[in-house]
Amino acid sequence: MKATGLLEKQATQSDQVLRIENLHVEYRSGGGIAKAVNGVNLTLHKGEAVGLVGESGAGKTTTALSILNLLPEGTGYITKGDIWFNNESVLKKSETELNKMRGGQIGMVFANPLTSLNPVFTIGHQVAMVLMKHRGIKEKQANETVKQLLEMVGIPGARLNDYPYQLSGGMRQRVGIIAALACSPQLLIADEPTTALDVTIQAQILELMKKLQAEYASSLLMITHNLGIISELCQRVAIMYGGEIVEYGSVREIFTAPKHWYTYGLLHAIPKLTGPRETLEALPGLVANAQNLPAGCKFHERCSHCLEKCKSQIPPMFKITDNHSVACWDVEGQV
Amino acid sequence: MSEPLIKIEGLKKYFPVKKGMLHAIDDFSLDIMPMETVGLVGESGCGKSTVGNVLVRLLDATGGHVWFQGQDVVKAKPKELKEIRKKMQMIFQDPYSSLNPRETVGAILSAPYQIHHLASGKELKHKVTELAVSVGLEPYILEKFPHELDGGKRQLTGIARALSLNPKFIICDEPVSALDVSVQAKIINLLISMKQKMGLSYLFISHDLSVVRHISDRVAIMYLGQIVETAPTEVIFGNTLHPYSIALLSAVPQVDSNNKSKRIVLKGDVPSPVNPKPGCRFAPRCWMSDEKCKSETPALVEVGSGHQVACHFWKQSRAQAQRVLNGN
Repeated sequence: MKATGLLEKQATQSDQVLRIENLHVEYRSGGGIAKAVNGVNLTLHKGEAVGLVGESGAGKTTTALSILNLLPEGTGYITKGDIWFNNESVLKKSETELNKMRGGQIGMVFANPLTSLNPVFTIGHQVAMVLMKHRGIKEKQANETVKQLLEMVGIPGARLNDYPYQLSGGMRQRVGIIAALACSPQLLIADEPTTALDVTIQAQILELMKKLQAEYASSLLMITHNLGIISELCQRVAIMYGGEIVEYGSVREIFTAPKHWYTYGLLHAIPKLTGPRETLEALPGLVANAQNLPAGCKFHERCSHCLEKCKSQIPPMFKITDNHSVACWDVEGQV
Repeated sequence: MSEPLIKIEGLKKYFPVKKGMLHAIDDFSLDIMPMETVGLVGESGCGKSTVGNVLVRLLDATGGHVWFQGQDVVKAKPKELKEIRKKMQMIFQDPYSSLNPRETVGAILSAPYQIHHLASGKELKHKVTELAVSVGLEPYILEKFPHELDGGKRQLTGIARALSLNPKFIICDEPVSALDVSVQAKIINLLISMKQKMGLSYLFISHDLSVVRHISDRVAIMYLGQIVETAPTEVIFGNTLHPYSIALLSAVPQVDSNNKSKRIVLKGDVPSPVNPKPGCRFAPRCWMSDEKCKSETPALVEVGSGHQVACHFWKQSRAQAQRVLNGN
């Protein structure tokens, strides 16, 4: 019934790169407890690109940080569930093993390349550091590789000795991407990699990511609020709301026939570039507050099709087709 | 046809930098009619926000004119400017930094009335409450500080502040880019309904083409301080002629997945606007540039009703774009 069951029969255990099982994450602070992630199940296979969509506060980034075991110490806690990377539990890894995994087997691209690059080191040094640490090669050799990587993403190799502030936003993000890909990781997590960029630069980065993903055969977990990007890059998509995956399956199916009312709302709240200009349907209310989540379906207070049941019982994942499942009581009778 | 509400003529804004002059806006002309929304589109650094700032005189222009109700904003004296700004307001991009963190929403919304001595005491309080409610803020929000509000409510506060003095013209500088999709829709709908209710004109500055298409009557596309193409919304999206506009439109990832990767990817970044060379400014990145483009600056010419393009080869651009797309 749960989303993990999906597609499992088509894929063997061995080409599973990442498996998130019933993940629960809390942030504890003086202000109370924020339940950021509440039972996320997600599987990524080799070479597959999966999108994670949701608005701010939906738990997307928290899920990503949990995979790397990078939750802020002292406030972020994984309270339940487990994360398996190559069939090894990430949560049981030692700090040394984790450091090997981070940047080596799993690369991460962050939203803001200006804050994720260190301003006092040259970009060449920062990318070379990844190679020296994980590949154990000498600086001179690493620099050669960095030059090649820079050229590959369209930055002259001679700019190796530039500092981040000397590069444009698009170039910085390309540096972030090659740093993440330098060690040919099995899994690339991209957290809003183009949000801070211009459209034509975003197009360059998207084309680059498509090319690199195909070349390196990495799996990709693409976190974004931009449904267009998901549609271009990913085969499958998980829609998150209130720390849960509410709808999951093939991109085409979900974008053409969404079953969850939240997904429907999202798709109708975005202005389109083609077709007639219709009034946007704004979702009423606000994104669920992680410190005070409603009982039952997290979305019920904003849902126009709320049933009595929705207010008290959390809907399970209903399977619509082999490639599509949804956590909404409204479809219960239909499946 | 009625007179334009705003007439921008040959506006220039240069910034002196170490190596010379940074041409942020160069020879920028645009009319905005009463009750019209003009979308101003372009990438970061193209000068679109500078246009907004020069229009309300947050920056002084280097040259040119901005005619607003018979007055030249560029030359207005401080006293005149205060009056002009009653009618001309601005909504900023970042609702996190455009509100004073040490003042309550109530105090922020009272300020315009106090500055212009329009209300005080009970009347002020009443006006502010009415204003807040009109944009969909509940009255209890007035007691809150900006940091206690989410992005959507903060932006509503910014909008309420801009609407407080019944302006005629509002410059919206990326008003929804910092917001979530569901909140964004609410703000866009509010801007549209306020325009109809209050008879407003907007200059809607944004990099998001879908949002611009949704809200604008007319669109102007900017590149490196200049307008490269302007036309009524349906025309610019249906019959795009400037090679930059074509590339820009094709760059937007769309939910419609049948259209995968059919795009013209521009090489490189926007070049520096410091001491620009003669010729078309887009030529170094253009996928159809010619020798002529490097030497001769193309003028903005009328190619259809209200449709202006600044390109030597606008007649060929669509056919050539088709070839590039098919070739990929």
